[in-house]
Amino acid sequence: MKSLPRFWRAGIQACALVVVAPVALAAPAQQALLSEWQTGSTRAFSATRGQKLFNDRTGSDWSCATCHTADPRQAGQHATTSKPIKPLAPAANAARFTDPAKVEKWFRRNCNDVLGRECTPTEKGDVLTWLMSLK
Amino acid sequence: MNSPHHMPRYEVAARVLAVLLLTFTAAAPAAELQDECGACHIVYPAKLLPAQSWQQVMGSLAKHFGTDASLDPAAAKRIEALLVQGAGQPRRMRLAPGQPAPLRITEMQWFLREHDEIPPSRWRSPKVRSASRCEACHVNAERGQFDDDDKK
Repeated sequence: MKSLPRFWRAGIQACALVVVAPVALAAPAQQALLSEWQTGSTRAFSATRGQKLFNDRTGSDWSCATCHTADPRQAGQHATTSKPIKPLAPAANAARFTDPAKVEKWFRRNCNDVLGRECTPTEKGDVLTWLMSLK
Repeated sequence: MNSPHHMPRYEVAARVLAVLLLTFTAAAPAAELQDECGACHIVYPAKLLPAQSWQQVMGSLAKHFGTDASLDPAAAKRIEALLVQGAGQPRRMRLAPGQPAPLRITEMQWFLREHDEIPPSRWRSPKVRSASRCEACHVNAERGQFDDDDKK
């Protein structure tokens, strides 16, 4: 194959970078969150505990799964407003857990709604560990 | 091309940059309002509630109609300023002087009057479920249009 002119090659490389970079950067962002929560936790994170918490309804009428569905690779729907919610599992939505401020904002709100209190670093780590285990 | 009427290139560039920056800084709070309010429900046009109601709504986000919608205080202030700026005029909202404004759009006099022909069964139907879901009937609600002709 005849090699492409330098101009086009540079263009294609730039486009590829734009497409690949968010995916490549997502995993470190999630790892950074886990590391941060781990410093505030005395236990190793557990996907099993994360899944259990995600489906737990002892704190209120709602569990996380009420809106995010029991399979967070699927799209969900807000229980009150019916607004569509994009999948929560990074495997289905690479943008998830890449913005720490957004992650903390939604954990704060949703844990208050579901559990009536904020989640501990261990709980947040458990849930993200479970979500990251879903392929 | 170097006639005295032509601006130097750096000045053209500086002016373009200034315009872009101004556009961006003016658009940023509007985009923030769209993102934050629109994350959970349609973005209700500011004019549907008086300023007093918006101030109370934005001052009680941790208890927002049954859910925690708490926000970074600085962001909440920026959004509140936009809502207050675009809020409905109390007189047009039919609020008597000194009368407390409801927090819910659906409790405003104008809302009740506009919807007095809707039977309770329609509100309760699975497709509607809540009067807060404007978009269940008003197809262009997301764009802030609520004409009777648009109804589903």
